[in-house]
Amino acid sequence: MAPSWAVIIENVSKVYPGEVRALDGVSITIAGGEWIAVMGPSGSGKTTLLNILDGLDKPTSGRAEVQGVNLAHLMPDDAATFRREHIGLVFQQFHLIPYLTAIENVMLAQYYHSMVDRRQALGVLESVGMEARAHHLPAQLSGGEQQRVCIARALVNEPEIILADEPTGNLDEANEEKVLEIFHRLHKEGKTIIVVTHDREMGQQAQRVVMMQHGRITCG
Amino acid sequence: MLLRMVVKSLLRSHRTTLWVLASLTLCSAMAVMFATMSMEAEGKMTHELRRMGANAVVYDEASAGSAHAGKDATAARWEQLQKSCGRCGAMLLLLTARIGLVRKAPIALVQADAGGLASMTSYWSVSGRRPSHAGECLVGGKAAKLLSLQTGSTLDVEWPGSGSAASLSVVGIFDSGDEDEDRVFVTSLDLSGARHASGKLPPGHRPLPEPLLHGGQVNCLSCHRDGVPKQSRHEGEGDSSSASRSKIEAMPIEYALLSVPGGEGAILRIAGELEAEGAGLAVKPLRQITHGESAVLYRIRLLTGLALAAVMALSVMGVAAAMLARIRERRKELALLHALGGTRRSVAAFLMCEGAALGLVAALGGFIAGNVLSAFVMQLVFRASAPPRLLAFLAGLVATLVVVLLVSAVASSRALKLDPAMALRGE
Repeated sequence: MAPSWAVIIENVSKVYPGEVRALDGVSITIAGGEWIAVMGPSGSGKTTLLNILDGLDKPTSGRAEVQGVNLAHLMPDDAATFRREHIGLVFQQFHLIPYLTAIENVMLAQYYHSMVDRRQALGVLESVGMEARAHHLPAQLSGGEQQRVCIARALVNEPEIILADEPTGNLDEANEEKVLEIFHRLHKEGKTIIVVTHDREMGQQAQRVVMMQHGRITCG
Repeated sequence: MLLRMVVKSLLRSHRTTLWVLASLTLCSAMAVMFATMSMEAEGKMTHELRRMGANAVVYDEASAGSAHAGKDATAARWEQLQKSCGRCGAMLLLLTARIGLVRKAPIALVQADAGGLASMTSYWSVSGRRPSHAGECLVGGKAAKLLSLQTGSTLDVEWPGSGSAASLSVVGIFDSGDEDEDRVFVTSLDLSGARHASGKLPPGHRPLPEPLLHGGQVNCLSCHRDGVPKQSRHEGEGDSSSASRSKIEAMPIEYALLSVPGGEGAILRIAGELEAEGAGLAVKPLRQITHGESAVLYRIRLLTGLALAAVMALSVMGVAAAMLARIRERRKELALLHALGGTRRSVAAFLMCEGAALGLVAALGGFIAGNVLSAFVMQLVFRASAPPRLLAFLAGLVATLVVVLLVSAVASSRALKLDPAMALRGE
């Protein structure tokens, strides 16, 4: 039986002003429920690929289809709608709103998705071991804790795809393990996970590693 | 959630918030102050301007030309006028005029209360002084020139028909820029005996010289002479005017000066009231005065309007600088809202809500500050209080919201131009 593709990237290029070619004819398909690690040196185009997959950026050419939707042709607001329905984003720098508590940061994603549900938000925080710190501001949390809040925010709307950009890049070993545990659980739950990372350990945990260099996929 | 975000984000960047609030509060306070001032000060100014003297003249249309006009009817008409004046706080000065002969030339002598005349005609330029008792007179510039009179001259007046005469001392000559200048003003002149007189013109009588005949539109005597003869001519058709004219000139004419607060509009209201009541009195504004007042009030309004516009422009600049700086500081936060699925409209709405919240707080603060300021200024300038007015609050609220929403719209458009992917990368 043919797999159902979560992501189909066909000959995608991204050229920034000044003829900076971030992606150069990239093609890749990712099946639903697959855990992919995208690795490569800095400037190889990993984050650009991720931004095209979440609709924050548009390819200059090629086809970028996620969950059956070609993101290349979406207007910014349609891309935002697509993102809140299908994608959960995890950032290296967490990007929590500094004046909102942990639970409010999670509820913010609910607010833009549909409606806020404090109990559900608390449940998601509990699933990442952060229920005790739900009412703390980001500045009162450690890096690992902030990352877990960031993951909770990505999960609260139950997206099919998790896109993570260096999720363990700013974490110590103990916190890295906790994050990996969460990703394992999400993988078991059938989520499609695409992780951009420099971390070999993180890469080894993934089902497939895609290597990139100079805007091209060199392996995987 | 939106409200919580708005409040928390404003509290978080409290320095910028305070700066924006201060600018907006200043803008609101100025708008409240100018609104209060324009509402209060206009009334106060018109009262102040009333100190300058009369701004309207009233003449008795009903009895004009009728030598047998009923004394009671005339008195009733003036009483009606007094009531109308009382209702709008206008001052009234009744004057009685009669044609006398000076060196065989007819001239209008007007009797008026000295104090009343001084307050109603304070804008006159008087060389010498005003008459203070019987036997003294103040001569209009045109009349003085025609009769070659100077301060200190003696004016011998004959009353046509009665054969009596009076000798007056010229104590001052005035310029009013109006048709009053062809008259002689006295404080006490016994005209009661002449009221019903219909004597003949003395020998040597000649028609009024041109300058004395053609006053302006508000010259009671001119109106009298222009309006009444219709009846006189009708009565004495074919008969040349000399007999009728002699009656008119022997008859005293009553008219009044009015000082009406509220300018030309208020004068026209009184005129309308009297016309509706069929009082038979014609009220005409002294155009020079009312136009002067209107010009002063217009300039005051223009000045306050320009000052308010300047304050609003400065506020826009101050608030815009702070809010745009705030947008730059919050690039990542706004990019994150996009990343979490916020549409352009929802992100703009968030920023507009922040602006509106600041505007509402500033409008309240500005209302309080504006009232304190306007009370202070009103006390300083007019020695009068200025009660808080809802309309002034609304003016402040509108001014503040206009400023803040304008700036928020600019800030939002900047925020919407952000590339969220780049902002999240920190580029």
